[in-house]
Amino acid sequence: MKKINSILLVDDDDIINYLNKIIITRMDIALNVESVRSGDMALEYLKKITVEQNQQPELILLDINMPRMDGWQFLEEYKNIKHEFLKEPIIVMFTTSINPDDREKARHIVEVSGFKCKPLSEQILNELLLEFPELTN
Amino acid sequence: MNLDLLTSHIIESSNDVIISISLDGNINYCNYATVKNYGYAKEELLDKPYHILLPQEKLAELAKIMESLMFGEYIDTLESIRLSKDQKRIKVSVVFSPVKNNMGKLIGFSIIERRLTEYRKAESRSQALIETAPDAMVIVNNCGQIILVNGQAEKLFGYTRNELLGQDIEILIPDRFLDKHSSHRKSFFSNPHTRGMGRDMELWGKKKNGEEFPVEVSLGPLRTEETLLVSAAIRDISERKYAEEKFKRLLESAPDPMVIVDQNGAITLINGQTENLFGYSRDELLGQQIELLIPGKFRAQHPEYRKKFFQNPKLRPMGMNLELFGLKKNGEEFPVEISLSPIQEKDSMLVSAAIRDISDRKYIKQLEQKNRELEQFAYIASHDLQEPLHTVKSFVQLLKTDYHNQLDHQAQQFLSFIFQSTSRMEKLIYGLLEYSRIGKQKQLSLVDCNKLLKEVIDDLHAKIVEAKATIHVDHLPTIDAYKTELWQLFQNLLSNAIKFRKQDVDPIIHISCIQNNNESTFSIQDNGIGIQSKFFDKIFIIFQRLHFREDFEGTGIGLAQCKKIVELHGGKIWLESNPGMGSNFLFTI
Repeated sequence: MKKINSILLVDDDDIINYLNKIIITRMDIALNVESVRSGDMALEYLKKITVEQNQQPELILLDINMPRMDGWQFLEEYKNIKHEFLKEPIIVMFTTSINPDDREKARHIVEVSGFKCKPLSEQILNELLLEFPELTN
Repeated sequence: MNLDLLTSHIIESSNDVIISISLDGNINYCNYATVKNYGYAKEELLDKPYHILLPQEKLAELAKIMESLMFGEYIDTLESIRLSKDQKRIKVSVVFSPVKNNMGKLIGFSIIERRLTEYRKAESRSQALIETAPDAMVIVNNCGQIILVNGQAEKLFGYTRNELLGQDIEILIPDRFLDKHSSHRKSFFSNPHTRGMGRDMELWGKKKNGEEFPVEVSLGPLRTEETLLVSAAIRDISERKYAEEKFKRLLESAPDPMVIVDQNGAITLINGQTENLFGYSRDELLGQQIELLIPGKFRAQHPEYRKKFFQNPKLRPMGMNLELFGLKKNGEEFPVEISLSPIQEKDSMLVSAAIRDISDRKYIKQLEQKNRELEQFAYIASHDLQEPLHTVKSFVQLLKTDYHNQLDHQAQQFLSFIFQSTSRMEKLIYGLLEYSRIGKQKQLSLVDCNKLLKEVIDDLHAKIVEAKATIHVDHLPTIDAYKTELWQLFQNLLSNAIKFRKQDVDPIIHISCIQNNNESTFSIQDNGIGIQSKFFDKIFIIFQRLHFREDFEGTGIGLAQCKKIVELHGGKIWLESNPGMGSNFLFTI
């Protein structure tokens, strides 16, 4: 099984990012795990990374509620830069929200491929690997 | 008795005037009836020209007749006028005949004149008859000429009888209806039938002075042997119209949609509010069954209810806890309250229904209920959530102190993360608790904002000193408010103004108030970091934060709380700001 090249975590809570990094690292499914703390930081990161293509994340776990620029706003902006990727990353909304409206809203955004609820666990990651076999092929 | 004597008796005893004239037109004989009818003595007439009995305008007629008679033509009985000695005009029927001698030679003319008393009597009989009618009566011949009117008609239209007789009926009709009227009249004559009053036609009469007035007219054909007449009974309905208008205006001024229904369930009157509520126009509703406005599932029983109401009509006020529904033109059903009250008309019973759309009220009630439940939920949830949280925190604390030496660096870091997270959760829950508690103990009182703000500033003393903040407070009003909540509001806004300061600029905060029209607009102006306008809405939503926690401490509850407090007072909160230019938070109370 191939490892995921890079995973980008977007969450304003640094403790959560820290925890999620530990979980992903222990499963040993990714070569690289990066984290940023808001939508604008994620955009900045992606713009930089498109220049250095080999670092491009294959999976993005995107929180919704963040200061400065939330998940939805990020997606709006992301539309404008996605064409710069050779292969678009898989974006999964990753949130504490159990509000069905959010899930519904996500379903109507083409850039979003999945919707998972926090907290991150081995089980959730396994589900993602099953849902998106292209990540490990 | 000899024949001559008998003839003489017959002639003298006749009620008809019998006159004989010579060829030159002088009277050579007249009977006693002549004396009786015209008031002349026989001697005054004999050897006088016959035309002294004629009015001026009939002289030509006479000349013509004489000529015809000379020519041996037969003259029909004709109607003419004669003058009595005292110059009274007498309507007569006249028969002229030539008088010939034994030789057949024309020696003169006989004239037999009969007063048209019988005819007059007949006329006055119909006159007497129409005088008894309660309404103004006008009888018209088939040419549309008025041939008979009663006193009521004279009074109603302001004409005398003589001014009306012989005139076209159109004299009584406003000009704007003239075109239509003559064609109506013709079609009536071609198919004469009785037409009753009040056929929902807007009819108008015109008085001699030009004044117009609403009328109801019933028409009846009146056949005589010779011709077809029309009798028209005309009723002035100004009073009723006025009353109706007054009633309609009253109806229009009612706050609720009103529908007036007759005993058969037909809609007879509505107001504009009804049009608006149900989406039908007036024309679409008038005459329709009231059931049109009732949803299908209730429609079938309704006529039965209606019947019961009319059997025992009495006022039924709103809010009888009946679950009633209306149906709009677009098919939408909506909850209503209906009050019914009977209206006794002269000969029938109507019912007026005031209909109140209570969708909003129902909706608001549901919303209030939901809100209460939600507040209750948040309150209980946040309360109960604190318990296990405290337990977790306490055990982490225990681990940290008791096992400090046995834990490696990573374990200690984990523990510190747990501690940080639980502390944060504690704050969040506390904030939620505070938020849901706003307005729980409502107690409006007069609050002197100057005093209140002094307390708030005292309370924030440490923060103010630490931030080197300067606070200017203008003179503030005393207002009716919930004191605890208002205190919280000022405290939140003031601590925000201190908190979101620029790193290198000491905060200067200005608190002021403008009062007009019973409304106070407070302003808390700072020289801090400012806010982008796209976040103006977001910041008032609970748990929404614009900054990372380590930059600006907070839970994202403060402004949500402010909004709730301002709204509790029936006011608005908003801000004016630009990044780097400071913020001005304004609210009304």
